[in-house]
Amino acid sequence: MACRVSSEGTVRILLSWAGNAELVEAVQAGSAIAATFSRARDHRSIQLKASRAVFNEIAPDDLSEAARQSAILADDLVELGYMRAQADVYALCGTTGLASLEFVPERVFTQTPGPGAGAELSR
Amino acid sequence: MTRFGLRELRGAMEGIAASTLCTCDVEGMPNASMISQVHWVDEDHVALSYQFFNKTRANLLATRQASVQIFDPRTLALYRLDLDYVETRTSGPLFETMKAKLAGIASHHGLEKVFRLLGADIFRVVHVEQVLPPRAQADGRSVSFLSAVRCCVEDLSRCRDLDDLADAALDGMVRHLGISNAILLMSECDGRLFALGSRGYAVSGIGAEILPGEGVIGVAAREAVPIRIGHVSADYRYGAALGAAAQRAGLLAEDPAGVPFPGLGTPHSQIAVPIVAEGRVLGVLFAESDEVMRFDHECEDALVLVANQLGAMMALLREEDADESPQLAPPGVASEGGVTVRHYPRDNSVFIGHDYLIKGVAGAILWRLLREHATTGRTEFTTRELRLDRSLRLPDHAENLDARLVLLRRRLEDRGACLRIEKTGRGRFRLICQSRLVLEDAEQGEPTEFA
Repeated sequence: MACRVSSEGTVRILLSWAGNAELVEAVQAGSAIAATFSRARDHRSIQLKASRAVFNEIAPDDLSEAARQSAILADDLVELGYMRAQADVYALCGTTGLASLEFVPERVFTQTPGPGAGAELSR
Repeated sequence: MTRFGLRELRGAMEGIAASTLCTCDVEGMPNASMISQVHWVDEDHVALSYQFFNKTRANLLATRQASVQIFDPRTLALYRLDLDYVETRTSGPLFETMKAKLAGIASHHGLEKVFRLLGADIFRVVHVEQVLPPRAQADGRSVSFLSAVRCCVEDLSRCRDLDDLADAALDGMVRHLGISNAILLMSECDGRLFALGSRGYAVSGIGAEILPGEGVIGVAAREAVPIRIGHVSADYRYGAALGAAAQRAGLLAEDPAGVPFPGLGTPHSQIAVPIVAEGRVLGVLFAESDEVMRFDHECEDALVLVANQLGAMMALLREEDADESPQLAPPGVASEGGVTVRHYPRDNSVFIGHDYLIKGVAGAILWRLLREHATTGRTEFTTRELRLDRSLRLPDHAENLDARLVLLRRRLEDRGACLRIEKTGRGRFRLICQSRLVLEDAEQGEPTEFA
């Protein structure tokens, strides 16, 4: 439901524990990870991949930052024609029990729909 | 694991919210992408749109496995489906259904030049997980579809001929199914369709023509499958293709002959359901709305039931021919004033004065009746003699003649023409001329005048 990037380039995805049991299990078992980020209004998208990721405790201000990012997405969805209740739920996908999934991207790909989707971006 | 019937999840497959698709390569590296369409196929299968050859595609072909997350905007529930790849279809009803829907989605997102359906990937659903439970009641509908369909079917069952059926079907769509704009079209044997009646438009559009494969109507008829789109794309609009095709064919030197399609100027949702009987598509029931995503799976189910009943009733109520030829009646008394009726053999179009009336087989029928009337003074005719007249080149199926006579009668009525056709009994009808007519065959000989 939200994402923060540290100055060292670590990506922290804030997501709900609920509904993500299989993801948690896979990450804890050492699975590789792929995360796609897409902007609702124009579908510009990128995908980050890493060979491993970890779960860490959330930071004190993560909850408010996640709420801020969700609100922006929800507003975008309403502008695109969603009902407010739909947009809020779609953007939040559950607010209880935030987890911080962290990884350092090893490869980055453009994922914007079109024939160029999937092209790797050079560092 | 909670086992959900896929049918219950159709609300999450309306294409309102984008879905997330995840695949892995053979080394286990995941790949996540957004996908435009997860299409409900049946209780065990879904289909995904294949638009580009990309990492997702490569992974699918390598592992034949995927996982997709879908969101139901009515109940706000989130589901994850585990999928096994079965096959890719690049033509046929399912492909065309998804292609039409994708064109609508692409248009809605300004990606018309980018999104193109290369195939419909069919998957068996091996596991369904409810990621987030429903948090809202699905919208209370203003109509119960089961009850509405029952009312429609009851109305149809009271009909005695095709004329009644056409009105009952259209009125039922409006009154019982809450549809504001509806058109009934019948098929020509060459794949074209013509409008037999409509509801909700400023003009009836009776006689308006749809080319083979044009718009959702043409595709629904060609593929014998319902086509439903929640965002209408330019690819599926009507009118432009018809005008261009007519110009290419050089059909008419004079004003473009044709009845304008009566559709909405800027529709957002459209649905076209084929009317099928005995394995043939007899016509199409069409509805549209200026609301986005107006027609859902349940509305499609309801219209399919109505269309099937309509098709069965059309087959049942085929006009039987009269047993004997009608007595010669004295010529009708025409009032003063003369009107020229012009016929163009190239496409059998008929003009009254300078106004286009009708073309095709219905035009040929009218021209035959008028010539017969001019020669013999007859006004009473039978469907049997039309059916036996080789020059009309009628198709084999009886309801085609019935539909053309209904079309002709309605079109004459619609135009307030000086001609009318009245049904006088089983397989019998009467031609009524209220003016003195001058018949002119545009490409042959001298005009014939009669009173």
